[in-house]
Amino acid sequence: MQTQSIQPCARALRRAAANAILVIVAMFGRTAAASAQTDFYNTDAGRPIRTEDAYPVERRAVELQLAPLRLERASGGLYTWALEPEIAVGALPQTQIEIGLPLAFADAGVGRTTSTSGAAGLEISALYNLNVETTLPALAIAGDALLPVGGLAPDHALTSVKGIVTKTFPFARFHVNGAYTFGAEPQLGLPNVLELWRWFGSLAVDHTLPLRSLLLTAEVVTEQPIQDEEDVRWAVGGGARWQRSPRWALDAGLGRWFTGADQTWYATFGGAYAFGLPWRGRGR
Amino acid sequence: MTARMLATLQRTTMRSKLLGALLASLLAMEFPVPAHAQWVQQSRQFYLQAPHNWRFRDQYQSADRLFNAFDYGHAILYETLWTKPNASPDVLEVDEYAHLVRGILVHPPRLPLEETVIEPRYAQLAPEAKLMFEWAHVLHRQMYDVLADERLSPAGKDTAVARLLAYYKSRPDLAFSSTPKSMKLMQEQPYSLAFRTKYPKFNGLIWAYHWMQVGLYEPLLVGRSPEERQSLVRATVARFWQMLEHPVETMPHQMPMTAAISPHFAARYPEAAIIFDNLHSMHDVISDVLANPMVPRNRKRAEILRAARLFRDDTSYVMTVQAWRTMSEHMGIENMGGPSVGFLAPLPTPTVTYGAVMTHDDRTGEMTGFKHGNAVGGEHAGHGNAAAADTSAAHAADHMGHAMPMSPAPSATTPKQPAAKAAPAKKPAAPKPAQPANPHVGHPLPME
Repeated sequence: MQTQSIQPCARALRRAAANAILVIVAMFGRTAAASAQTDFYNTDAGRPIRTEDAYPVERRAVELQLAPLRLERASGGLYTWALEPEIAVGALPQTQIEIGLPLAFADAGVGRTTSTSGAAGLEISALYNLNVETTLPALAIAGDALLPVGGLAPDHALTSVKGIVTKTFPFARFHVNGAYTFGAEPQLGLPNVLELWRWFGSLAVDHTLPLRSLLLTAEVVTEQPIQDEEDVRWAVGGGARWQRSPRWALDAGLGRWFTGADQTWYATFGGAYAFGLPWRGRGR
Repeated sequence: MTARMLATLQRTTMRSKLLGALLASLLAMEFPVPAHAQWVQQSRQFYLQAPHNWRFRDQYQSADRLFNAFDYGHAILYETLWTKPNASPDVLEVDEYAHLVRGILVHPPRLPLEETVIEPRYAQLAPEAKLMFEWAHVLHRQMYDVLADERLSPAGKDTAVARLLAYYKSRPDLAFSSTPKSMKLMQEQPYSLAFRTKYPKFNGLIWAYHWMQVGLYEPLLVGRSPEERQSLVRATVARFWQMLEHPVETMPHQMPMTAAISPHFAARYPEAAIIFDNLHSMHDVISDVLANPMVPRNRKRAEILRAARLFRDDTSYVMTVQAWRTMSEHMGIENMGGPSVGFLAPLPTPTVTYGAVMTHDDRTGEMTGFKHGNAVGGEHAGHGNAAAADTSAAHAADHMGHAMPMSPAPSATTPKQPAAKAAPAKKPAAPKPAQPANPHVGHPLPME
């Protein structure tokens, strides 16, 4: 794993992050309606919490995670910033394909004499919803490949599988996620900016205020980091997802790892813009 | 024991704890998995991407928000009927009705709702039917968008509507048939009438919703300028509120039929009008299935799915388009809340009892009698039909004679195929209409 020390790039990334925040803040403040309807209800991994529901984006929908920002503060005041732009497409019935390009910036700190930034891999994933809820919970399976693209990426591709369960009750919705990463431990010359894991499990609950198009959620997560020598760690997190307009959903989250080597705080903030795939069919 | 072995042991212990915790979480959720648990695979679909997306929301915000409130009303109705089968009717007729009329409708949500949150148990009972409704509601919304898009010419709107209908039909697993269905499918089934009988006020509210949902197309279509469309839409919305003033007297007494309420719209876009009538009929069917204790709880899902299948196919309970127009007219627009444009200040006086069930000739659409309720009031006084008796031709003719003619729209626009054009010729001559033939012409803004 190569260590980079590209200050101009770091500044550019910081500027990009700041601009992204400005754009999102401006979006919150707009009075005119921008022209998916209930995207806020469809939680995605990391938006705002790691646990996701068992449903893909709607068929023929495209969801752009334009400026999903993640900020992590480790003990000692070291910050890691990550921007994780993604595009999710409801390509097939009950199926979502997602491509993401995580970009990270890490402060100088233990093991590093300079700050570091760069792409942290190219992530390609697919989620297939097995069923909709009846008396049975909704189930989904997902597969993910993280390719070694960029200076902060792992040195070889990592693949993982995930199982998702969603059950809705009148008062709340519950989700259970469990995932496992295959392959040898990658060489990471930097802190684990993407928080790669060997396995993780999580339980989340969310409550929706339907008339306000607002979802409040909380989770508990446990994981074995990808480095075998590290201990299993636990985190709690929470957040909200809000439908700003028919096309825009915003999210914000906060969490803390309270065991493990790095007992860090983290915050997420982002916006998803939804639109439909072009349709070539014609009327009469 | 080395430090590494100790670490390994600790990790193993942690993993065991983790698995235990997750298992405990799952068990704590207590998934009920009864013998009839259903494995259902279906997917939601995004609306058709087009330049006209959300134009109605942008241009007619208050009307658009009311539709969001209507979604809440439908959802809470089904959830209540399914989850509180033994509750007093007051739960819906008093409490929920007041919540809707004084709360949700007055302060409607600014965005379309995620109905699963409001009706989680119903959504789990019949997700297939729920998705059918969602898909048809998407069509509803997109039709408003097209008609509200001032950048589109009339021909451009026709093309856009044709594309919407093609997109809608691209999901045959969700799409209602665009072939007209006889009212028998809606109100002559073994479970029929339970809802309107037990919950007349809420039923009237739903019919008022449906009146406005189909009625709002008419002002968008017949208004000759953006300003006129705006003022006509405001009048139509005001008319909706007028219907809620004295439930159930001021509410529609029959399911509003699109060909009657929005004749220009139904003439120009008959397929869409038929789809919406089928949609609204199925809303009533599901209310009846859920409200009728004669349908055992373990049969409700099957009955809902049966109805859904019949409303999707093009072969069951079908009638011709002309028969559908005739039937719509013979049901009497005055019994459906009246026209949505060009109306007089007072609401029309219904000529049948609330929730009456007329029978019709499936071939011609002509009314043949009453299966439930009878003709009443006004010019009908003295012509009362036997409520329970099946079909009296003489009484049927009486009622038909008093069916109110379609009210022309205020603009000069003439429908290509006027909905009621052919029907009057088939109707028996009315001795005296309940109201003048064209009493509403020239009164586009009675509420102002």
